Amino acid sequence: MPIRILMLTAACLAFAARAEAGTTWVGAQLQFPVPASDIGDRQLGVGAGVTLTKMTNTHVGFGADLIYHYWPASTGYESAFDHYLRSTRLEALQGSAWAFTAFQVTGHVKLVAPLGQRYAPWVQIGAGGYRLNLNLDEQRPGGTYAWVEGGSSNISVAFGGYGALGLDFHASAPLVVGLDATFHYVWSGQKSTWGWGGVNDLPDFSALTVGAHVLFGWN
Amino acid sequence: MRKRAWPTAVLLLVSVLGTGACRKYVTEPVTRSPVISSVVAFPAVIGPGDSTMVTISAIDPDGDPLVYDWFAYNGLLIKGDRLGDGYLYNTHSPSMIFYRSTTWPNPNDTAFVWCDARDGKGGSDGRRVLIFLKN
Repeated sequence: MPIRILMLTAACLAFAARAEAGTTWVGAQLQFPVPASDIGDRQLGVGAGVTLTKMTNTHVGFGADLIYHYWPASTGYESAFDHYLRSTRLEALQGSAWAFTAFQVTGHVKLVAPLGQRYAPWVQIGAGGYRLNLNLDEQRPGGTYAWVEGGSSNISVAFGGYGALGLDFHASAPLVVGLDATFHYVWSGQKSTWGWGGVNDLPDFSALTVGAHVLFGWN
Repeated sequence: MRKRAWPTAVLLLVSVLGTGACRKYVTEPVTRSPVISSVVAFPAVIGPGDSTMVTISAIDPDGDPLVYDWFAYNGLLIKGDRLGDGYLYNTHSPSMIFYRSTTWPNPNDTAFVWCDARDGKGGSDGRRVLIFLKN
């Protein structure tokens, strides 16, 4: 019996190898961040973009991602962000439910474990740049006696990476649909120029997203 | 029905993304100066040996706790000013009592008190109140 299972598995892998090797997959992704440590639940977050993967063999592929994220911050992260603003830019957030956007440009490695003709679980890791937009409208009403000149850049590029798990379903010959869960980690890079032990730095940001994707492939 | 679902979903998604991208979150500086709304002396006319109480009404837009500086001119002395030089700094009370000096050479004069409200971070506001001296 175990020999039959092994033979069956080998046959599936061989079939998948013919189907997958050299294939280029391109498609769309839709993701939703899950409220967790840095993601808040007061707004709906969303992410959408395109991904491309070139399979070099059955199991390994390389590719790139272009994904736009709208990430609402959790109360804790917003508090840390407010502290950072106060200590380094002499300003504070008015109101709550702050959210920022990130445009992810990353390269990735994808490892696929085909379980047959139709299903293929995979893991993927990627790294690259996240263009962050803090979405701030900085106002300076009368009576303001001190402010930071030129230090208020709302847009920055931070280094980040992600790890993802997914399951692809081969719906038809060139079409794959699937589900995925991705953990993003973005190094904020927003360091304060004063304060001991980084007490005034903006903490790094992490987000867990779940989503779906549609891929089209060709050889 | 199915043909309509996809454009609707795409439109909804674009709307959500667009709304997020366009929305701005307002920040305001934490370095706004305190604002004095009034300085009142009661009574405003004092005779020899009398005293008057000066009260500041001030707020800080950033919510910082305020301290007050007091400066007395033209024959007034500040209660608690041990040196008698007419200055008193960093009091936490917005009210202060002023006495008329017995050695001031011009008994019929107009004295005044200058008050500063400070937030301790560099922001301040100041105002003057007149006190009439008569015999």
